Amino acid sequence: MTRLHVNGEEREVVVRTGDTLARTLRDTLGLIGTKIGCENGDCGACTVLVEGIPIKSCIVLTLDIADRLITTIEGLTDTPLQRAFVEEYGFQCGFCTAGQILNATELLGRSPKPTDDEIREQMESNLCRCTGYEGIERAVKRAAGIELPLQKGSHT
Amino acid sequence: MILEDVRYYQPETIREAVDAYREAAAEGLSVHYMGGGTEITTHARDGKLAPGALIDIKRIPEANGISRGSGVIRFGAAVTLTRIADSGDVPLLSATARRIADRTTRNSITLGGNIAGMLPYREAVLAFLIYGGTFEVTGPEGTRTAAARELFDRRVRLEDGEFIVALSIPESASTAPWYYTRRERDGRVDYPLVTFAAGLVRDAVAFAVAGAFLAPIAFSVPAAGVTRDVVVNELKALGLKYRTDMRGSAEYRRALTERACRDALDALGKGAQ
Ligand SMILES: Cc1cc2nc3c(=O)[nH]c(=O)nc-3n(C[C@H](O)[C@H](O)[C@H](O)COP(=O)(O)OP(=O)(O)OC[C@H]3O[C@@H](n4cnc5c(N)ncnc54)[C@H](O)[C@@H]3O)c2cc1C
Ligand code: FES
Ligand code: FES
Repeated sequence: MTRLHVNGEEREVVVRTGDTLARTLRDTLGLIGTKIGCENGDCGACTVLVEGIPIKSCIVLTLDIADRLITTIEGLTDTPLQRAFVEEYGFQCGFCTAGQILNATELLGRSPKPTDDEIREQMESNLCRCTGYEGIERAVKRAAGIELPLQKGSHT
Repeated sequence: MILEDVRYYQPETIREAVDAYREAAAEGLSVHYMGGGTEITTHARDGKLAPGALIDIKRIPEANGISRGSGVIRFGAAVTLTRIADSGDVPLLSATARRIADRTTRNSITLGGNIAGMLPYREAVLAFLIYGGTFEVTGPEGTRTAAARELFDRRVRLEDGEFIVALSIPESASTAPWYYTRRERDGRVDYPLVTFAAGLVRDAVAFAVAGAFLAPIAFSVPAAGVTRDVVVNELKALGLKYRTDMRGSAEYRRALTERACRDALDALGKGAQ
């Protein structure tokens, strides 16, 4: 048995040496908020935090991070960033959203008022097939308390 | 499960790592040292790799950290590219690391893994080739230090059971003039068509290129009287074949590379000669 520290809880699980963290989270622990898209490190849908740092859980072995603190989307509850994603329509189908939010959570922890360049560098790790990214960027800025330009079609 | 029956070692010392290698190799397993594991996992999933044993080097103190001493800056092979990008110790190295993959992936990719990887890019090696860096490698026969330009000849030339513990660059590289450009087909997060780096190193201009050819390459020309034609002729004399793939043709890569030769000289103040 391997002990994993996930979302503030200790979980004893059977992990095979070849299991990736994404598979363990979803298939063994039932934490299906973590999505698997490309399973190749390209899309960011599987992003989780390990000791607060975002990583792509489809390209890391579970045993590699067994003694570290893991946070999945289930470990975040009604944070300002999550609310901002709702308020700014930062998602449509929602498939990429867990990864986007976890990645942006680390950015805001490290840089509470990120520059446009910092937001771009951070968020280019995550692909979204639906939104065109504008709502995602606005959500990150809203959560950071950065003034948002009016959107096209807005009324004053 | 993407890897069948793989044995996984997490040594905490160099000695334990080498012992693990000996043990697994003696049993006939195909043994791989592991940094971030991002290439090992993706290649295993694709069926390109079927390791019997993995030796994760991230817990070995000598393979971690960035330090200065004896006139060099030393980078542990297990240091992540995010850490190197953010460190700024060697501006050319940090600039190069910052454009490899994307930030989240760089949180996992290690310096040693990038340089020892199987893909043709291996961009992090460029600064070590330019500044006359050295590799510290260790294995069953002991530890040795080798010049980057000797050990990295198209790929890292390691003996059986050896792994990269660290890489060093002379401290002068932190202030030396440098040039860097990277061209992609589809915007920033993509493999490069061409990554081109150059630096003034004593009385020479050193160049290193990734993406254009099957592997990163480096060459130097005397700084005195250097012109774009001199650099392009030196490059041609290497007799390398430009790559063609879905991102770009060999001809396009050649044009980008030769253009970068001129831009590099301009940026280094050698363009007018
Ligand atoms: C999404 C994505 C985007 C990428 N984009 C780029 C890019 O733009 N440019 C680029 O250059 N690369 C890019 N890569 C490739 C990446 O840099 C390589 O695949 C690299 O090998 C991954 O490093 P790692 O530490 O995870 O290696 P691992 O998967 O741990 O190992 C890779 C190989 O290196 C060997 N190895 C690892 N560490 C050592 C060591 N210390 N000594 C000896 N051998 C060692 C392993 O045995 C294995 O054969 C990208 C990869 C991904 C997943
Ligand atoms: S599923 Fe992990 S990066 Fe796409
Ligand atoms: S909301 Fe559908 S992929 Fe991003």
